[in-house]
Amino acid sequence: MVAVPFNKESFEAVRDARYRAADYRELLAGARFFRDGRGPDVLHAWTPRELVSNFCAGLRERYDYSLFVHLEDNEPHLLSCALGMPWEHIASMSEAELDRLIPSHLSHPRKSYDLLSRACGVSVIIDRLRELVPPGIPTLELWPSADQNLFKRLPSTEAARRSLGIPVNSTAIAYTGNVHEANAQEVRSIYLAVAVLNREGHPATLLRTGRDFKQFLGPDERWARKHSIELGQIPRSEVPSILSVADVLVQPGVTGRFNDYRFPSKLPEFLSAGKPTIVPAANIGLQMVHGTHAYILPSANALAIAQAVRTITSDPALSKRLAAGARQFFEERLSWDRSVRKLSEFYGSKCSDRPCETLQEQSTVPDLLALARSTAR
Amino acid sequence: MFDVLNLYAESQPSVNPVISIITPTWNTKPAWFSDLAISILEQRFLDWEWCIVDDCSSDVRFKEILNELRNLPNVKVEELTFPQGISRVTNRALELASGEFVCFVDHDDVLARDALLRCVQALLNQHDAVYTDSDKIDELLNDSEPFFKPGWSPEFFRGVMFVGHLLAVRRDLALTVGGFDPGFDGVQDFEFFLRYSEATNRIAHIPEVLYHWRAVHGSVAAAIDAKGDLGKLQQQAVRAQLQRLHLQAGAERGDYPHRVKIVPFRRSTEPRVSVIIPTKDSPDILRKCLHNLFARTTYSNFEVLCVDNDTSDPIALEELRNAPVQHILMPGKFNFSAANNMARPFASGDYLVFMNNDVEVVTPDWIEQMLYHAEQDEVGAVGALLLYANQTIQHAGVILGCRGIADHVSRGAPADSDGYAGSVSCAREVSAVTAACMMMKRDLFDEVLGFDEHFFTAYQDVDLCMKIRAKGKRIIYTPSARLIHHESLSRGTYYDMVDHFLLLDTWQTEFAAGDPYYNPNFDLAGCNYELSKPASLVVSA
Repeated sequence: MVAVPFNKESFEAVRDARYRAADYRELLAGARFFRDGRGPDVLHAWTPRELVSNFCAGLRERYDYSLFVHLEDNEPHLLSCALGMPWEHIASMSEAELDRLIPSHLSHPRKSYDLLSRACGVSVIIDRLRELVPPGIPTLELWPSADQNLFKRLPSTEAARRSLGIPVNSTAIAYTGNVHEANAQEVRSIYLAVAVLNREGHPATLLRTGRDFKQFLGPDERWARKHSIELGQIPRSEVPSILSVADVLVQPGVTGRFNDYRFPSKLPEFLSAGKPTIVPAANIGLQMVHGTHAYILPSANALAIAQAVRTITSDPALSKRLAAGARQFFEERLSWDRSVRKLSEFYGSKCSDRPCETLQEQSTVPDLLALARSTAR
Repeated sequence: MFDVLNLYAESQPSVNPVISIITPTWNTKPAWFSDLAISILEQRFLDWEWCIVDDCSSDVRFKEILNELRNLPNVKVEELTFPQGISRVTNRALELASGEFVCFVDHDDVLARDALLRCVQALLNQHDAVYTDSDKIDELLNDSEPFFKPGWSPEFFRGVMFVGHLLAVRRDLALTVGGFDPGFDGVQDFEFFLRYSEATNRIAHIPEVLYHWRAVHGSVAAAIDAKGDLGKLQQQAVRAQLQRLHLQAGAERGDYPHRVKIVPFRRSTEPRVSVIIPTKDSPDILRKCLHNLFARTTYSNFEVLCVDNDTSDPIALEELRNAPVQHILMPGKFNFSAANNMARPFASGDYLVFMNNDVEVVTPDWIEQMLYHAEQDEVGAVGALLLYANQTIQHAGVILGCRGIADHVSRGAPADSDGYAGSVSCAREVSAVTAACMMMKRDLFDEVLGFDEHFFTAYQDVDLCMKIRAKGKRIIYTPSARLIHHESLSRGTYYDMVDHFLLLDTWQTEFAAGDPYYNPNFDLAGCNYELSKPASLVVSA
């Protein structure tokens, strides 16, 4: 069962789903979770954000479940950015002030920590997020992957490149994904790298799929769009073929409080394509070997990306090694089967370790300033 | 006072003070002192003590208040037996203090509720000093005139006493530097911090109004000359610092009240300066530039290198061939970065000046003025006050984030204006200066690999300044070097979007952090020190 705040109808787009979808309202109102009428044995809360946290609390009044929480972002940093306030200020606010300020789509600094403290276990999408977990709470690093039936290494053909309109002498760089507030600056780095390459005499074309939910290329986008082929929203099944015609794939980003604590969702798909991939020295990049699994940049900004593209495309041996290394990393380290096994074992071992706690029990609220310092760059 | 004592009983401050509040008193008005006491007792941070030293007050009612406070834990009161002046009184309070940190609060002022909390947070975060923004309050606690300060700027501090209140420092370091000097009573806190800042550069600024300065008749807050000629003392204090730091300059009265002008001494040595001017055609502009440069400049040991990007105009070519310049050819598409970099191997100077061909010298000693700053170890680059032909400001420093990118502050203001708190009339630290007229050490230019040639047309000067700052050097704007800049006359109105985003992308972390020398309470759209939103002016008392 997957519970969402609203819009459960959106799950109709997921084919062959092996779960039911329901929304918070109906479940809190007593709708059946399962055919036997029982509630969940395990509730895995996807982030400790207010909306989710409140749902967990509401459900606790009905059911005695083992709580697990998943972390996939630097929640204090997101809150600090959203409120435009340093974390030190937020940490020193009163409960009344926090209750007034914290929106439901973000994490309350104390309540979220309280939720984590009550969990039987916390899954983290990247190791660094363990810094946000209260001491003594079991953790599990859980990497996502890509559908291995869909994301395979496909051959690149000149015909396919021609059909997309890629100039014959152009280095094709692909980015398959939407642009929104969180990643706009990073995707702009790719457009900028392509623009720099072109104006300095290296023909390059950006193959782009997805929608733009934010204007990010300035009022006059011609400087960027003239070097890109915009394919818009395409069926997910066609993404591998787009990746297959690319010469280089790029995951942009700089190290810092955002990137160090996340797992870019596009990366498993990029690596599955078996193409030279450029990544920053952050999150999963720290687990890869530079020059083998990926071309790892201290900071994957536009100029660094452009230089990396020049280096890779001028060195066929390096390009070949990176292509093979990307696929190897995907096959060995990114597997849904492995992640599912690990999670299942985690549920089994931790459910019995910690008794379920009730709302009346108070957990120790942390020194939030110390918590902030521990996640500082 | 009864209310104050009741409040004290409720607040229960800690027995282990982290910060000591230092307050010298003398015949303090009881109502104002109560305001201060209440603001201290309402502090969200509880680990404080209050050290009050009275300089022989004669006011009976006030002395009664001191007697009542004396009995409270966490409040230390000492009454001197003979008048000693504010510095000695403050020093005595420093000796009484037991906190690791101290902050200085005047007897008639008021603290914001989070003042101590914010200061302690900053000091615990590896700083040796912290100062906050402030505003003024009247007798009825009505607030006005917020003063939004820049990040720590030692050069600016010599010209403008901007640190003020609230200042919190480490007690042991305050004693090490000798505390307050009675010879500077009246500007004692300014003179103290000149010395303190020589001992450390770990100085933080909190861009929040956390201190409310009582502006009543007879106070400096109300009238800048209320306490006699503090200007002279201010100049003396700066002069003393210049001597301690072996800086070859004197301190004179500035053009505005409480401003100090730093005047470089006549030089005994003249290191060679290479002036590099990229140019293409534009004979009239070029002629004026070169004519003024050679006719007006008093400095003798300089050379001029003109980087000629395919000039075809015969008059301009004649000018280049006849003028006493090194004529360097740069054929092909124009790239400002490459043009300046190309000149570097031909430059024999220890200092480089990058200059646009649409610039004209106004102040004859412009090189001496810029060199005074450029030759200091901690300074990486120096920019000048550039004016439009109509004598309004074209450049007085560059602000990061200004108009969404980086642009000149105070553009269009009168040339002889003071600017916000002396920001135009006094030399100060800035994030960047324009390469329309920029001076730096040749060795440093080489170390940072010159101008980045990925920038074709614009912002390479900002990028260069960011690289210089990344080396830990400061960028200085000086109003004492004044030139006319006709701006883009030779380049026209083309705007390079790739250069625009390249700057934002390369320095995204720095842009996200904001310009340290432009208070975040100011609007970045106009970039003229206007408030971006109504400042929080509620007095917590």
